[in-house]
Amino acid sequence: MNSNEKESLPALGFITVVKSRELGIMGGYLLLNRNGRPVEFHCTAPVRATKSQHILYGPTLEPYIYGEQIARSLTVRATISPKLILTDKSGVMALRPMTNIPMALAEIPKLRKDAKVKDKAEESQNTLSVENGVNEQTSASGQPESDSAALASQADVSEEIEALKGKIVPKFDDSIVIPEHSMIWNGVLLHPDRHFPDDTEKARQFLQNEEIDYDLAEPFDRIREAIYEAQKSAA
Amino acid sequence: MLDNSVLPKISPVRLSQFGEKMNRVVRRGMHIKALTPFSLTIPEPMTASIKIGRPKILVKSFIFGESKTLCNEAKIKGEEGDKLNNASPFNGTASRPTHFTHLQVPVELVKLEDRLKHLLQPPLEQLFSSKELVFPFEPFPYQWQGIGFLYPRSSAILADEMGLGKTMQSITTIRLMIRSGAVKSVLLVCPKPLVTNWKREFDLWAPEIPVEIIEGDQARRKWIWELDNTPVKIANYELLHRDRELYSPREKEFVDENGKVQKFTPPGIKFDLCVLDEAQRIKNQTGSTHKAVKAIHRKRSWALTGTPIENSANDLVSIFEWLSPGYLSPEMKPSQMGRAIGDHILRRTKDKVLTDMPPRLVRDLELEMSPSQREAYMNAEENGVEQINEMGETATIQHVLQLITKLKQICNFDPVTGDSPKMARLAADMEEIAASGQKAIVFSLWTDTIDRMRPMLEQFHPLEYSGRIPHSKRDDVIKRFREDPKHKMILMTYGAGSVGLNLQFCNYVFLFDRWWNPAIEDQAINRAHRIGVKGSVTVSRFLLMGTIEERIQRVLEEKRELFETVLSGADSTRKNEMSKKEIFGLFNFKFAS
Repeated sequence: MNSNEKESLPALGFITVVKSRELGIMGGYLLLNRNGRPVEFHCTAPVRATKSQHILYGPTLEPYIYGEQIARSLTVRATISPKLILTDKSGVMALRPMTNIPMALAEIPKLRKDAKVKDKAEESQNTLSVENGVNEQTSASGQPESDSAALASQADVSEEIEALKGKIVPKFDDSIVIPEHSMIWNGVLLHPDRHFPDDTEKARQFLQNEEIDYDLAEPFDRIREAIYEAQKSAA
Repeated sequence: MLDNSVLPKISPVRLSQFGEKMNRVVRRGMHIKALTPFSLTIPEPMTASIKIGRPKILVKSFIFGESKTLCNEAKIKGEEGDKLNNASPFNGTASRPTHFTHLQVPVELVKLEDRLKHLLQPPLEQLFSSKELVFPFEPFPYQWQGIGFLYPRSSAILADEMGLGKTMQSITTIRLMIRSGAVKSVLLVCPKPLVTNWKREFDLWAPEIPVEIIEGDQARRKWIWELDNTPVKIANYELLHRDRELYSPREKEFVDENGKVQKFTPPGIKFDLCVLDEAQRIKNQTGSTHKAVKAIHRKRSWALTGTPIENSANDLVSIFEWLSPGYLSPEMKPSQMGRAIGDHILRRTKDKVLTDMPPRLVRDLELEMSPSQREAYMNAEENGVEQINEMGETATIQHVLQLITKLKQICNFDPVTGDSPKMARLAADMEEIAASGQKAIVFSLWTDTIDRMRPMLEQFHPLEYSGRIPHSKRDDVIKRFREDPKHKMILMTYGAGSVGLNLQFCNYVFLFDRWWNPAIEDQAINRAHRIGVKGSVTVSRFLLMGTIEERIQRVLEEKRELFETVLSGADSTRKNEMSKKEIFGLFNFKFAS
């Protein structure tokens, strides 16, 4: 079903993928209402890239599998069209050119111990890292690195997230600088795709109008749990 | 070696003519003659194609809709609510919750869709941080966990140690379930003295939920039982016996129009959820209390108890007979039982979850009897043993228990002189406690002992809380003890004071004599050692050396081990129940018991 034909509700979509050495890559798509309660959930069976895909796609394999294949299949299956889709995997952002729904990459900011940014002079340093979610350093511009090296470096992100699960998330510090085109909501940084500059404003308006006050990073944990549960029952 | 066949063949060229001047050369053109023919065509290269292909993506979908999710929308009320409601989500200094608790999906829930429905619910902490519900205090993480445990379970035991807030956890869960529409009618059953306490706690933790206490004359009680616009009703165990016909009428006979005798069972009152507080009350499966609670029509059953095993593993079997008949059997080994109950029972202890709670310091005050007291004690024991010996095989446990009671009373007070080493020590300790502005609770088995203690403790203005104080006056006694600084101590019997009271303003507890069951003693101690206590709680256990008290102490320690074995699932070859033989074994009887 095309997203244009679907019922558009004030729902928020969350997409993440989980990597398992034994099974492959699995994606999950959770649609929540304004109060953070589940409306729909879709998950994929494990997907494995072939050897030839590995060789030929090279560093672009992840956006291809995560975004163009898994995320696209998930959003096609949904019966409703949300107002905003969030993901904690930069590879999933490859879905954005294929949909008309605004998207943003969500990350939990944490100040590096050795880099407290208080003024513009220090902005040139890398300042943000991610506690839970996308495990990548942001660049001087503040946008997450989207080049192949950065994508390749997060090959086993989900396994690292597994190790982080249950750990206490640090409090958000007001000394964090919000990068251009990005925004912060309830302590979570949202980075829309720079090629879709309107997405920032659309996301802000939606979150503001619908008074979304729940944690925007937490639903990814729910998706991961649900994917494991689905796999457990399939086994 | 070169293969000439694949090389282009280049022929030697002979120039037949060259002009003398450049313009002539251009005009004339070059005349080239090939001696042998050759081709400029390059043969087509060999190619290999590799299909990249698109991975096949299979998607499984679950559509939930809006019904029966955790909580409906509501904004927090009051001053605190205003503050929270005005908090801006744009505020860069907003902090994320430090912990998330999700519903703990029961193993018995098999269907994936049902499991995901629970699993994908928002974390419980969100209810607090998103201002959807009013909470007087932010629950502790282990309390959220308890709520997440109870919510999805149709049969569960919350067996937290006393003082960890079983009441709050169950009320909050009930509140969430009522608000989400998961349940509409709840019956809470508790001991009679705790009814008002439960009502107070509901007012505190679920102020918007209407609660009705089932009380009054029979007509009024019938009316309350049948009220269908009151989501929560509170009944006491004693009342269940009397009202059995009101909530679960027995089969009746009537004569139909053809003159035939017909039988029918009136429908009775159905509850979506029944909660038993102090569920150890139903440990006797043949008892009337057990039968009365089993007759309650209910979809879900929860038991609250800090002591699911008081005497033997059979206590737990009895509770499960109410929760899920046939699930446990007395023949199961403790370790087997421990594994079976794993998903149905949640037990936490203070030392595990309240690591910053002030400690409980237990000291055994080992005292020597006075000479005359020892003489009286020895005489009583010798005479008692002799009498039972004379009975021979006809002697019963009851006879032995009578002897034990008599000896324990002598341990408290010398029957001839009235002297009491325990009393002397208590009075001395109390002087110090009172001087430091502190208060103490003293527990005894008997009201007679309380009567004998009171004159000697007059300077501390002791209050009494025992079975002979009418229920209507008990709340007032507690209020006076809490608020009036002149009352430095309260004298309690285990039966009346060991459950449901919050006396965390006391830092001293004395066990003047000992109960048979360590769980009851723990309950008594936890009146003071519970959430909110400031400073450590000192528990003094009086023990007269060389007496039955010392022997009972050994039994209590063994029972404590049994409790740990079943609830930790560890294996054990120890005997679980104190047998008749063991009770007789407290004395040197001449016959084989």
